Amino acid sequence: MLVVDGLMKSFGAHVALAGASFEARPGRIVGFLGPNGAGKTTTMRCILGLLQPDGGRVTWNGEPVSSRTRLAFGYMPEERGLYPKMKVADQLAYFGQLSGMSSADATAAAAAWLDRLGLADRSRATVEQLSHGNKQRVQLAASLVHSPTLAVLDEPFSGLDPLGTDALATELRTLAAQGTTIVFSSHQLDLVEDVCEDVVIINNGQVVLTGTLDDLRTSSTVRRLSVEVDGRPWRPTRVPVEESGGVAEVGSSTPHVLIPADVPVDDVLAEAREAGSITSFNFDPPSLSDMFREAVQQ
Amino acid sequence: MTGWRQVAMVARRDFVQRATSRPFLLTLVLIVGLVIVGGPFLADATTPDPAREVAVVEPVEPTLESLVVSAGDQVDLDVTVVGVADRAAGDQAIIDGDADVLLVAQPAPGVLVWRTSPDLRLSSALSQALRAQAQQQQAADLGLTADEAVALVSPPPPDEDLLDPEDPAESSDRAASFVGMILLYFAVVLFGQFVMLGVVEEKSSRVVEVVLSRVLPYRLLAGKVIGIGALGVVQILAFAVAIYVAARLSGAADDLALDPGLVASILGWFLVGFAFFAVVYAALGATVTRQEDVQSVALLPLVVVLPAYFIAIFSVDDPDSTLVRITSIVPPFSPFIMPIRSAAVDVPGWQIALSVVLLLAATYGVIRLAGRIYSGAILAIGQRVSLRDAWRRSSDAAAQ
Repeated sequence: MLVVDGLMKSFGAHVALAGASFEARPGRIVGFLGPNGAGKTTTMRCILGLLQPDGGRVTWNGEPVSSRTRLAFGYMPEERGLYPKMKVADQLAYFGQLSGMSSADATAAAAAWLDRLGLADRSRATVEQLSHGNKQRVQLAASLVHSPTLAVLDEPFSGLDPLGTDALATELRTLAAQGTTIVFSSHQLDLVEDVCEDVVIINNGQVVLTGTLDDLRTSSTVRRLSVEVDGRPWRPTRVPVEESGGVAEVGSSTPHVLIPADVPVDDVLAEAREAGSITSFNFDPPSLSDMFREAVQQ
Repeated sequence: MTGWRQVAMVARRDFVQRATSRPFLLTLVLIVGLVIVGGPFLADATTPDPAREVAVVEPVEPTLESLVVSAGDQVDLDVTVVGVADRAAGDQAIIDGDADVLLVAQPAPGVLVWRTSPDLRLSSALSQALRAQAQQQQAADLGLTADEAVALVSPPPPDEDLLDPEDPAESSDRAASFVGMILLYFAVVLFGQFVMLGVVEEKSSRVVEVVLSRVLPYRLLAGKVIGIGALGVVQILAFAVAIYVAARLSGAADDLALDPGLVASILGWFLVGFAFFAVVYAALGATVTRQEDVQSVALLPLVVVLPAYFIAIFSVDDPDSTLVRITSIVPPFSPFIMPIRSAAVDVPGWQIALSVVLLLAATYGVIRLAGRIYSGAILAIGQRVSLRDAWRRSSDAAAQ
């Protein structure tokens, strides 16, 4: 289990992390969310030992993380990078070996990954000869070639087309099923909602929300309401209403509002009936986007 | 063990990737081939041809011919006398280039006819021959025998005793240590920059973060310096061997007596000296991201390398001056200067030992310092990082 405990990090006067804490359990996919500049990359770099935190600590299975334990970690940095003139298979094998694999194991693992990603016929190509999408795949393979027990992926979905996104989501689920702990950051919240079981939301260097998606939804203090009366969008006036702020999600034509979770549904229903004939009534737990806005706007 | 294995793997990758690249192999084969094939040719072409043709109006006097040939011998010229019918034919032969000079002995003191300008060596030899001929004539007029005449005008030269004759091996030593210094200079200036470019390349392609999530910065630094440095050493050695082969082929190395111990010590100075500067270049490389910025920092080490180079050249002529004594001990000047000084004069053992210890200590120090600068600067993508910033940031980077 990965435990990030009270991480502090400043760059000069700028405070990047102000006591960030969260956990990632074995075999779970953790979505690591936050606005730009919230401290996601800094946290990831601290986990990987690329930065030394000013305070707090990172432990893996109860032990402080050392350069040796990190060999079992895989990292995909936000700034993508590979050796442009090195052959794809050689490159993956090299990264495998740097992570402690024997030469034979690393070569076999590199071939297996290329096969898995549909790049077996490009193994002798140099990275600079690959298309953008294929480079992305090789980048992912580079971070996973040594079968890490913890994979930390910074924006792994950015720049992928829908097919690539599906393929990556499938890969992540497969890895998690094999016991790999996965922490990844993303701004595509519907994707996170789809792939993750756990989420961590960080803002201004502090974790503001953490837990399983289900728990967070249930324990949320708001509910999502969308109602149509006489075929037109309707909103209650007798309960405190909060704009969800977001654009209507794909597939839902009716705009929604957030209302406190403790408001009895019957009261809202009664008010709607008074307004006319209800043609549509949805009362749901909040979406991840709702919770995200809620968390970072506090 | 993991740490050393990683260093070895980084070194291996940097070495193999470059060594198997086509431009590298092509350059190496071209340079070595050029030196081996072109060296002797060049040596031959630049060695002056000793053959000279001297035209003399017929009939050629046998004594004059033998005097001209022997005077030519004394100045290492291979003189042939050719007869011409008269002065006009002689002039024509000079203009046509059939002879180098027309010698007109009579009337005394004679005339030497050249085409554009006198060949000074040949001119003095011919004057000598004419003088000798005149002396022989005067001696005969006085009734002296040839031997008496020679004894009268040119008594035998004194014998020369050498109390401390120059050892041919010593001049070989000096030549070898000088060549070693030149090679060190080129290695530092050329391959030091290669190390630097190797570091910048990793930064500009952003791959460095992927690598550093697995390898600690100082290990990456060490691996790069060893890998790219070793490639530089291989190239320099290939070059040195090519020079040696070319010298053997052309006969220039016939008197060369290389002492294996000396070669080993030159190699030792070379390796440590090169390591020192390679590490410096690597640390400087970590402070820039873009290839365009490389030039601005690549010149910094020259502030030390150029003076070291010139003092080394100066030390060939004056190996005992105070400047040479001091700089042969002080790093990082010592690897340039100590081999030359110790080949020229007897250097006390303690000074050599001190010089070696200081250079090793300085190299260790610069590795530690560079490791810190490297780890502080390597993840800062974009603008150039000042050395002070890099030092400060290094406390941000992981140390264990």
